[in-house]
Amino acid sequence: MKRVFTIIDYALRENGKIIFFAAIAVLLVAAIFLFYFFDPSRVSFFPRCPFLTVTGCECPGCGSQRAIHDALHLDFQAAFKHNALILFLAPYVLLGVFLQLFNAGGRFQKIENIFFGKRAALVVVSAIILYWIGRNVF
Amino acid sequence: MGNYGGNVFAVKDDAKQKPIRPSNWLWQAIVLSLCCMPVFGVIAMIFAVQVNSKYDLGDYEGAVRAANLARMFVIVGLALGIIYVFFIIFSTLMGGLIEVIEALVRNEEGIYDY
Repeated sequence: MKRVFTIIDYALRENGKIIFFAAIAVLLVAAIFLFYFFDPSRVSFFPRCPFLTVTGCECPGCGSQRAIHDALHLDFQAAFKHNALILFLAPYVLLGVFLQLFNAGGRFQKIENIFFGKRAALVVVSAIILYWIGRNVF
Repeated sequence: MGNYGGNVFAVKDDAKQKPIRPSNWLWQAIVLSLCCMPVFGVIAMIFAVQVNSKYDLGDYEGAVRAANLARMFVIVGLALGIIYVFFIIFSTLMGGLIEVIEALVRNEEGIYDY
């Protein structure tokens, strides 16, 4: 028990970031559990996209819940049909979280410069905007 | 990003006399634009791209300004998204409750059929 308190104390004092990211990890596991066992196209309690509700146009993230469900069931074709972006951007975002956590000493600076540098960021942002326009036009 | 929690460059890199690059908030903006706040997410992403390009050009103050703007848009969008999700969950729960009560009222004679 004393040890647990020591760990919590250490986490709070040394680095509040750890608690924050632990909470995010717990939420992530819960979300994976939820998205694995419930199909968002059948169950109604998943929230609908506010942008789609307001404007009637699809945002770049629309369909990502169904896509995550399909991807967790290893049905990548259906996932690609529902939302093509999330398949590529989910690993990218996880890489970003990893770098945010563990790049304190600049250990992974090369990786960060490649994937989060000027050019990569431009590519990602323009891909998202083009996908947003394209899925509403075609 | 990652090197520094806030976006202020108080600590200087001794070797090159360059301030540390501020966090560019790119992945947070991407999460935001995929989690149903695309307007705020895209604006934040544009500022996030500006952080690195301004830093590479040597405009350190501009980079910090862009990082602060990106952070502001991410936080505002995230707050709005969280409010929206809670509103949806609450309204579905309340709607279900109201439906149950309405069904009870409609079938009153059927239920209390002593």
